[in-house]
Amino acid sequence: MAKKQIDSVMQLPVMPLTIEDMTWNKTGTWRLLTPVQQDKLAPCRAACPLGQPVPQMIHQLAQGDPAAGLALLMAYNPMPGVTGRLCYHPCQAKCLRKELDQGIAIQSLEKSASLAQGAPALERRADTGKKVAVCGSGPAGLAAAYFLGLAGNSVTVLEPGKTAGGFLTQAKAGQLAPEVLAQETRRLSQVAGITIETQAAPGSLEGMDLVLVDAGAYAPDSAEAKAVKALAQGDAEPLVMESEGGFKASQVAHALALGREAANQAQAALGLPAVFAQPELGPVATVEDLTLGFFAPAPVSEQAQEEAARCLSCGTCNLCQQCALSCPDACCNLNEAGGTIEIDLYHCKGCGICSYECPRGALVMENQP
Amino acid sequence: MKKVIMGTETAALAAVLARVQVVAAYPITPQTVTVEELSDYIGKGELDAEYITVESEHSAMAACVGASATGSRAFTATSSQGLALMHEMLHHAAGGRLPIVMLNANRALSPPWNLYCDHTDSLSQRDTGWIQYYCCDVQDVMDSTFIAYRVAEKVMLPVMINLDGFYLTHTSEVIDVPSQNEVDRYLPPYDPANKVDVDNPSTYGCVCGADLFSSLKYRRQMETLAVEQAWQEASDEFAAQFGRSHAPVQGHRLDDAEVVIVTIGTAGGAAQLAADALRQEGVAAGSLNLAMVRPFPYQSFRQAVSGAKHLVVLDRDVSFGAEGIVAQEIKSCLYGQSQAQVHGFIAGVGGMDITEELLADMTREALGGQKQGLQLGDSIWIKVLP
Ligand code: SF4
Ligand code: SF4
Ligand code: SF4
Repeated sequence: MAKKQIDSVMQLPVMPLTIEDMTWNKTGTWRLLTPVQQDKLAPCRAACPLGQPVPQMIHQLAQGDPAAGLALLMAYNPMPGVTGRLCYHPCQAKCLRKELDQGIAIQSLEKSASLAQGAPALERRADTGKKVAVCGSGPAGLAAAYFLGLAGNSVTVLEPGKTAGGFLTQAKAGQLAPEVLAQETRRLSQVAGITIETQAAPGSLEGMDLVLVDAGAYAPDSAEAKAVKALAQGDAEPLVMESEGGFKASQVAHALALGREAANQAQAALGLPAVFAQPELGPVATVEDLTLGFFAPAPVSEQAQEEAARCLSCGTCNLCQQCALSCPDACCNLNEAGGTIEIDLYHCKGCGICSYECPRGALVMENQP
Repeated sequence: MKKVIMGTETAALAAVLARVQVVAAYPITPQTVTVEELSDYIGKGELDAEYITVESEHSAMAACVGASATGSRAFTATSSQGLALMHEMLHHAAGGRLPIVMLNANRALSPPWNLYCDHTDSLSQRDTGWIQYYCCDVQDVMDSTFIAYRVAEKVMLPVMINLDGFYLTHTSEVIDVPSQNEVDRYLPPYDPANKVDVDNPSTYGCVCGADLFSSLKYRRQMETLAVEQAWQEASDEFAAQFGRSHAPVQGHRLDDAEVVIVTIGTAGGAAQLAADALRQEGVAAGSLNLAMVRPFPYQSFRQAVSGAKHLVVLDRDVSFGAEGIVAQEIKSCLYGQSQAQVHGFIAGVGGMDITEELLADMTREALGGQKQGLQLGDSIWIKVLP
């Protein structure tokens, strides 16, 4: 809108106020520093052995959409129902909400998300025509198979025993009921489109482009380890997943991370691009990035949605729009379709109020015009 | 309805009858009763208004500025030191063209501490752009509040209603209290053309460059000068409805007066008596109550004293390094317009009583009689140590 031309004293407003639209005034030319919405790494996420998008998943729970939370987790973790029960939850030790009152029950929330019905439709790459066998169905083997399946390969998991799950089948029933393990296994094979063969016998490696071996959690000379290795016999160069000293049940996330990494190595061996990459996020958010006074104290809740609402979303934009509310020039706007905060750079004069007001340190002032 | 009532109580009652919507005030002697009464009225639900508790007079005025900008009728009351503390916000209210009405109980400024009547507090705020009205009695406090809102909301400027500390704030008189219906008939609800409105956003008190700044000030000056006329009209309409007039300039026996005693505030009553007494002695005396000091009522004043040869001007204030402020104002008004001699007296500061005899003696001195005070610069100081 063009600037209104004033030709006489009586056309001036009585009160000293702006008249009509002021968008002609491109205050953006005054700017020295520029606000940029840039997430930092939430400390819970940084502590998660799988690097799961914890605040984003919690945000979905707070919005009442556990299925969306589950989809976010399953892009990183094939068995959130297992980690949600067994993991030693290093995330919780780092939770910044503790600076305000009590930390978030992150693991329970992860479990809540895993209880969502159905299997999320994750993107599966086009068929590569490659056949892969994974011998052993511990969490590492299943994770490798899962990501290789998502990468578009035809994957078969061979398990010598009666039940898939490797050392997870030996977990205490109080911690992980056999039905839960079965459900999780079913869901991950459905999402990634892979096949699991239990009571598999040696000699079924015909036509495989690559063979992976997961005997990681068992003692090398145990019966279980020998049975798994026997399955791979006959393959010249199997890719073996190993970890020194194996895994305890509480370390399941580390086992899953090992399998996820093995999937990338397998892709390389097959001459294919990596299937999983951790996104680049800024530095880990600290309590200094937060405006604690912005958040009201609230007791820990047993109810998932209520507990999720306590999360401060450290360093992670959750579209709270505090910036939009604070900008004196109405330059921070929510792009609903994209789910992002956009800055109107024609008018943003770089005052930095939005950045100061963002209660979670997700809006930084960059030294750029 | 007739009522025996104090000046401070009257100010509160007038605000109630004017249906003010926001009150933000900080108590200070001798205004305190007004604030107490208003908070009582609001607390008891007898006035449907928001009382904003503030920590200082500066904030009181700031709150009134905000309230008025949103389109509500705002009221506050202060005195002396409190008024001085408001100074910055007084400019904001007038520059923002916000029709706030404020009671100021005239009281001396410290040091040394003195709680009594003195006009330096309000007169030193002359240049803030507020309309200034000085009441001569309790009825004037009641009536001028309604006229003030009517004028303020028409010309979009704030009004300061001044009451002499203790002489008026703490004196009870019999007055006529109009009914709510009568007041409503005279004073319609405030409905500004512009107000802070989220559905129609504008920046209030925005930045303005040199290109438009002088033009905005010019327009404000033009509209401030027109207040003399607007007040006169509002006073005439008030008189038509209520039978009482409160014009910018209120004269007594001026028609053939050769000497005119000019006062502001409550001294107007004593000045009338002094003029009457002087007439008995054969002196053609009259008196003039200068009710409005800003804008200065140039036309009415020049006309009122057009036949006078001597003006005896009482100042309950002093502009240090110059002279009495009212005398200065009058000289500036009459310069090149009148041959009358202006005799400036400084008397009654810090609560010294101004009596009929004192004013008559001052007039006699002006006409060549016995000396009453000490000449210092252009003023004669009354009742000072030799
Ligand atoms: S408050 Fe939320 S985002 Fe912050 S550390 Fe805790 S769980 Fe993570
Ligand atoms: S204030 Fe809220 S919406 Fe704006 S950047 Fe920060 S987290 Fe995102
Ligand atoms: S508050 Fe608005 S004007 Fe200021 S830096 Fe942020 S977007 Fe720009």
